[in-house]
Amino acid sequence: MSEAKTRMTAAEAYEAVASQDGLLYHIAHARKENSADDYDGDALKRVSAETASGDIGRMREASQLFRDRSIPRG
Amino acid sequence: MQDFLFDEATIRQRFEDFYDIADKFCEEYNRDQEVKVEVDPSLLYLAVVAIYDDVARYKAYHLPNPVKQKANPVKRAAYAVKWLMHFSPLMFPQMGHASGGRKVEDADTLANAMFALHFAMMNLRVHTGTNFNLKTELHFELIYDLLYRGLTTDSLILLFDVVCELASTGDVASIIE
Repeated sequence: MSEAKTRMTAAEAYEAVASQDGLLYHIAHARKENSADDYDGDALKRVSAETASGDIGRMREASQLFRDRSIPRG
Repeated sequence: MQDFLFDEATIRQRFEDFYDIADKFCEEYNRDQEVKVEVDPSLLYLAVVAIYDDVARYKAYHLPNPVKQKANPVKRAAYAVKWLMHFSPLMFPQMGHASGGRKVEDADTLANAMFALHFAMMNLRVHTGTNFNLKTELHFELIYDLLYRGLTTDSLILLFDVVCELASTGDVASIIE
């Protein structure tokens, strides 16, 4: 976030919300050999950094269509 | 069923990646905006756990060998849209509070819909190996449907599979004949 003094790191955020005595704590019991899903977090972060600005611009254009196409309430 | 759930270490790693992606998305979203959007870690945590529980359930039901076989990123993309829209982890703290301003530059629902679609497209881009973009009109249709219609995750999986096929092949003949 832009206000660096209040921004938590991802690890701090996890510690804050997922403590074992907290209400949100999630218990999982996975098999060690569970192959789960096809995942590459570094690739996701890289592609997000490359495309977020463009996506936001296109979606702001799309959201403008809500205004253009809304029916005035007389 | 519990044998197929994602383990604690994996959930933690996925949360931390998700948080970093959401945080950077907010930075981009806030550029030149007076009202600043932020990530609520509690709501993001609930969304991340729900996404991966759904992926695990999908695997347990649909895959012949859910322990050995991986789910592809299309499932993560679809369940992410479902749960990001449900928990709406991006918030504008200033709006609606006594101490906040009365700016209405944007809305929580639109910001969350945009983030949900960005996260989904990002997964599909990595999956297909192409940084494709959706047309503005399709963005509008998707955002509209996420806000006002009942898009199921099954329909999102089908839609995202079609998008991946078109993005991978660049050939409409891969879908219709």
